[in-house]
Amino acid sequence: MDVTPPKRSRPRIDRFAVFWASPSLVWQVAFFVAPLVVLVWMTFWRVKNFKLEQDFIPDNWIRIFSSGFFYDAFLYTFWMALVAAVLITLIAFPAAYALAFIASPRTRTLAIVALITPFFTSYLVRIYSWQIILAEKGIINGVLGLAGISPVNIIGTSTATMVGYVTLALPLVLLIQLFSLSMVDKRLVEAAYNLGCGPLKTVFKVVVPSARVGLVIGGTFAFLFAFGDYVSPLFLGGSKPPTLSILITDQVKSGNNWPRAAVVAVVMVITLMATLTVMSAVAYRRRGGAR
Amino acid sequence: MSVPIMTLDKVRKSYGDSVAVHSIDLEIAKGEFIALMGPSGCGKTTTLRMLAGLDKPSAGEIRMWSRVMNDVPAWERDTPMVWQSYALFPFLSVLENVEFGLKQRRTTDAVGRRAKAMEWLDRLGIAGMAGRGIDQLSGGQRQRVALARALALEPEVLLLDEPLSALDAHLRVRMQTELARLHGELGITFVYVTHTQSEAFAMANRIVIMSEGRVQQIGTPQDIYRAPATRFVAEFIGASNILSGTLKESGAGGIVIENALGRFRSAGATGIAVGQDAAFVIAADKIALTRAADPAEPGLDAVTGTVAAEEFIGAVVTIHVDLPDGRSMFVQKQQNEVGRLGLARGDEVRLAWHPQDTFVIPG
Repeated sequence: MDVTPPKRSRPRIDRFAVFWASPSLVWQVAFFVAPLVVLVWMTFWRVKNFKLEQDFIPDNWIRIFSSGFFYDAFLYTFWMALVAAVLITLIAFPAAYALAFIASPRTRTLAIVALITPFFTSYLVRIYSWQIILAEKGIINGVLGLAGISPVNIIGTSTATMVGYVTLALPLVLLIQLFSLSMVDKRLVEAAYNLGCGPLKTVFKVVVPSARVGLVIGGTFAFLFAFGDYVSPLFLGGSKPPTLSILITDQVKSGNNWPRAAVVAVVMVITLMATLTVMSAVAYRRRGGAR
Repeated sequence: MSVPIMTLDKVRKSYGDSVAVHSIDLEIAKGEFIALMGPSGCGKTTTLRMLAGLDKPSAGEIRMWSRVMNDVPAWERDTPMVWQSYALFPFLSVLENVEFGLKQRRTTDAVGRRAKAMEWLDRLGIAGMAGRGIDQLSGGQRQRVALARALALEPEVLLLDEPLSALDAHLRVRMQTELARLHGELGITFVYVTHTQSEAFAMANRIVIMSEGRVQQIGTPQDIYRAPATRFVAEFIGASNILSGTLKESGAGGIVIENALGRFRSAGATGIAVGQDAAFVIAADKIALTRAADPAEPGLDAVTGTVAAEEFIGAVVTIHVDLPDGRSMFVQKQQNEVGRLGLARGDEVRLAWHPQDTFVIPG
């Protein structure tokens, strides 16, 4: 056979691809990259008599990083987001597993529709309804009262904030888990049974490792959502203790200190990017490194 | 036969209205290499899955030795399987894959387990791959890992589901030899599902031919090849000519079948009544081929026809001959034999055979 290898041509820019990719690229540059640059720049500005002035001073960074409340807020926010990620992953998994492995295709479709529906209702509205449920004289305490149990204080606590986080992220995490579990090779499950591994053990030894990417990405999304959320810690958690998102609004509201708010925001963006990087590495880590 | 290691007793498997396996009776002796063969959808894989406990029979009984296995879950059985897709765990290394089953047994500690897994990897010639990931292996290497993973459990029965079908041709032949060798050395019972004749004939002691959920024939490769029990088997094996007609005589003198080409004798006995449709089967390599003008050899049955085509497969030539009534037959000969005749397309030839080389199947 006489096949001449195709000549290596200079990489040509695919006009078609550029055309269709450009709207999202333009959008990202205009509304994400550019504001981010401005945000970083703003951290070096100064505020004089409640007025913003362009400058290039490190004072805002020093001030924020030398105040205890910032560290407290950072650790609290990080911890809450971490707990939310683990908690939501654990809550979502049994349901996603049942839908992927046990449910009929019809049930699965209905469940997917039901999981998408929350995205049509405003998150704020859902949080308000949680307020009614969790309030001091709300539904939960009403039911407890009927049972003769003294009311519990839920609203204004970290527990209430966590309820909000779960509301926010659970449907998405469940969907991500469901899709990744649906793609698990069922033959691997049978192979595990065939090698003497019982059903429950197979879930942990075969299903979870097979769906690792989806499980890690799902948990990461839960973390991202919870870490940046403002609504739940404000309306359910009562801003006590404050999260970083609340710290940002505090800086702006009291003293119009946009640069310091920007410092907190930049720290948040860096944290999220670092988390994403680490977690994608965890998700896509390869097995068997020899050679 | 002493107590069979595995017994299928009127085993049936249906999914709603569709029946995958009708009613299969099969006894597998210890140490046998038995092949379940048939076209896709014939129920062979379902049968194997029932032996593994991955599918539950709808009716009938599966026994291992004398224990009824119907309700024993797959994970409590000792019948590891080698899968067509290998079904290796991609998130585990080669060594960990082989150790997987051993770990579930808990018969040895970690050190003993590792030693055993390494021993099997070594035995299959892939000890050097122990630390690799599955995605770093070639198809042939994966096949070996899958075999090591199953054999490391040192089971009494090994189930194989078309294990070689994903390999390329020359590797397939090498693995065939290796499987046959392993079977000989280990004395383990192999139950082997395949749709490839050459695999079944090359390795198995006994072959079960299935079609549409039913067993068509159980026999040694020789039995199946020389004496297919049904038209389906004869056609599936494809090594024989099938000429149908009407049964005219059946008695001590043998059987006579008549059709437009003449009267043909056959030696075997048959349950077919006189006057019914029947066909006689003659293996392509049992036919003598001469020019029609040459003198006929006495005592043989014969037909004449014209050469339609020749096919060369290695040293063997297949000659297709058109018969006067529109049917055709084929003859397989060594190339040097045919070369002597110097045949060309359209030449008149005589096909002749001994009646005792033929046998009769229902028409």
